[in-house]
Amino acid sequence: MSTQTKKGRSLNSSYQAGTILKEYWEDAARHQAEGRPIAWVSGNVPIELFWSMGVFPVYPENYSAIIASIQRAQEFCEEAEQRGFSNDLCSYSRVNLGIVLGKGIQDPGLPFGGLPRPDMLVTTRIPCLIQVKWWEAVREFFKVPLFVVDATMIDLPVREDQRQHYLGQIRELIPIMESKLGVRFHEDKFLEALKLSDEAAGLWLDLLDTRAAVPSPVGSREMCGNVFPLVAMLGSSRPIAFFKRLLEESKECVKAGKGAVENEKIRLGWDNIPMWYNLKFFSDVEDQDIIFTYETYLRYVWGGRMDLKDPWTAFADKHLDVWLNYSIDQRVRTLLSDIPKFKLDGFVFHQNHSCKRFAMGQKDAAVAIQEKLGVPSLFIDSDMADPRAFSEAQSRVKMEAFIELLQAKKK
Amino acid sequence: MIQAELEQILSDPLESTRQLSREGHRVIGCCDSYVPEEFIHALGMVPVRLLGSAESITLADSHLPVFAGRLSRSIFDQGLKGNLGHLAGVALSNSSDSIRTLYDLWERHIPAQWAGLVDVPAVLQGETNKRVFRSAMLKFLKQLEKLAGRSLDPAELRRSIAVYNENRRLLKKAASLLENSPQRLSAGTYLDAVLSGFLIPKERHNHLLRQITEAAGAKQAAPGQGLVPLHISGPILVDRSFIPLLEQCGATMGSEDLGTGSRYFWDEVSEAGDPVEQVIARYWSKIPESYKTPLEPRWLHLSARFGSGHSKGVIFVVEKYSDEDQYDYPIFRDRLQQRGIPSLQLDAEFILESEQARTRVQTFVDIVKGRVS
Repeated sequence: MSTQTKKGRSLNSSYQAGTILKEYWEDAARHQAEGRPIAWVSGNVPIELFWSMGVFPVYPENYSAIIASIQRAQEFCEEAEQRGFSNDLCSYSRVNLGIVLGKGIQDPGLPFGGLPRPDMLVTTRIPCLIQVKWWEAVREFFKVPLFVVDATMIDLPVREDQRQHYLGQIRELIPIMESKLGVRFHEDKFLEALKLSDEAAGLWLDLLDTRAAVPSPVGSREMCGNVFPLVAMLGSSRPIAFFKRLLEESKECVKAGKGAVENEKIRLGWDNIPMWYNLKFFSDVEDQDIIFTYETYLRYVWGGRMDLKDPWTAFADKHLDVWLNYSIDQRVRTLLSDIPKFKLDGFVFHQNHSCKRFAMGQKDAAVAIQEKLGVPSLFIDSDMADPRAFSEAQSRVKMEAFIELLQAKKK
Repeated sequence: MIQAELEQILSDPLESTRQLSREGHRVIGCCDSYVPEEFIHALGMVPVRLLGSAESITLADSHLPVFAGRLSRSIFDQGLKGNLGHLAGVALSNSSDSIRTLYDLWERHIPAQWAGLVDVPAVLQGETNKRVFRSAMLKFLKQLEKLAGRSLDPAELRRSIAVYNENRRLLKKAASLLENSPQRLSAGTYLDAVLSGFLIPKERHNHLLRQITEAAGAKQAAPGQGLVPLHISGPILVDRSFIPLLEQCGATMGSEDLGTGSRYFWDEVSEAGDPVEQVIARYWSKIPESYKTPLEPRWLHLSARFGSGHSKGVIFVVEKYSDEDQYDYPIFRDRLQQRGIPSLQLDAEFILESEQARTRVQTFVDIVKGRVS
């Protein structure tokens, strides 16, 4: 089995991820400068609608993750806390509120020159209720229209009443966007956006599937850096070429038996959002010939295929079929099916203080995969953006002990 | 004598609900303000509120992280330990993310006990959500009918609505006696009167409330005059020692908009028209809790209750990890500040009594007193 060098990206195309991210934020600023509408949106909003209507969807969540990755989250979290927002609240929101209520979104010291001002706020209950509360706090400052897309939790398959609930709200959202933002909905453009979205999602899922191969062609750290176009750009053409190149490269690696780590010995799965300020956590593990090759966050939170023979149904189902909107039973069933497919030896659950909806049910899932599959788990107690919640030494010790356990089990 | 009865009900809440079971009632533990209690009542069962407890949590921690919050962890712990075994079932709603998860956990780990879900939307706006809200309520009614083994009789529902509406009117009367200057109902009695209603049948509670309000109405003033009246806001206040703590600091509760207070009982059900539809309409349009959007009606209720009383400041009692209320606090604080009204947030995990809380309350009361004088 041949191997690649450990440092650097496993897939050369991954180096484009930073360029795409930069262009996205530059495009947002340009869009606003040209007098076109900006909506601040959150994870799992009906993203294709925005692209098809010429409304630029700005993701403060992504911006908070960027802030965390450049080790600046703490200062903005503290800013929000000084203004009364508890340090128990979602750290993405604290970073954002710290920016908004502190020096402001146009502070030249911010990455990409800051955030464009929203003309409208759109969020959804699908991932969690916290998104809604966060946007209410943001609206208090910007005084712009707010629309919330609601949903109740699902067990697959999506029920017809849940689908109609979703679509009914979309039908209410469209005329509001038209009247508040001065844009027009054209179904043909929307269907084209769905087509682009589905194509990109298909490529992404195929890419993730290549990681079931032994050795795995690409690890979690790199894939966390590649996911952004799936989050924010579905419905535009930009992600397709990028994901296509990643997929081609990954397939080539699989064909050639090239692994992301030398002598892959142990394969791991990861649950919850990563610690953006410490993605090195993944690469440190990879240095020990261990690969994280499966993530619920990358597979079931963004994207999803659509059967476009019935586009509206497919659109609704895709947006409701999200890990965070799954019942605990559905999450357990999904893991029990995926873990053997990806040949995982162990699973790491990130008990992410900031994403409670993700974290609740993890303990049941851990018991189920141990009992049904004999796959042991580790819990890392931390936070996705606030580094104060992460204990480097404690996590390292726990991880080392877990690896020893897995190594002993493999013998 | 009334105080002794309240004391007996509240000294051991679980025992009070156990007593109902021993008396032959089918008791349903309800988890929040969106469980349509009138349906349960009309089907011959007794709805009580699951209020959790301050006891140490052991079994639930194997399933829920600490940051799921004390209420859901505590209720689940009680369930796992069999302390809620006397209940014919539990009714949960799609409220906070923690409570919604609690329903899944109940189904998985306490399958022998009936668990109903009122799967209503979080967004109480728009025609689509209104339709889904109605449909979720009707679905819950069907679950209840199955549990009760019979269909809902509209005449019985009308009677239940009347009982509940009387309860709400009596509680509003109690609130007005609390808000009166001089206060005619003491804050301690008011809190006990409100909390006891979660643990006994509403008919008995109405009887108690009539006695309490008549006795208070006959007085010129309740004891404890000279204390600074403060408005108390927040999702849940079950710690009865909070009122003595306030009083020791020179203040009292002069008005409230608590989730376990006026937000729970303020809105009545219209007694005209189809009773099922009217119950649903009441829950759709009631003062929304912090886990519902929009927040404006909640703010308006806070403002109205504050305005009706003579309170001089606001204390927000916010449960740790109750994210929804923690997001609301800075918004409401700033709006109050713009009106020149001081406020304080107190973190609680059911229990408020601590030296830190006492110091903070004392300091706040001193500030408020300084502004008043």
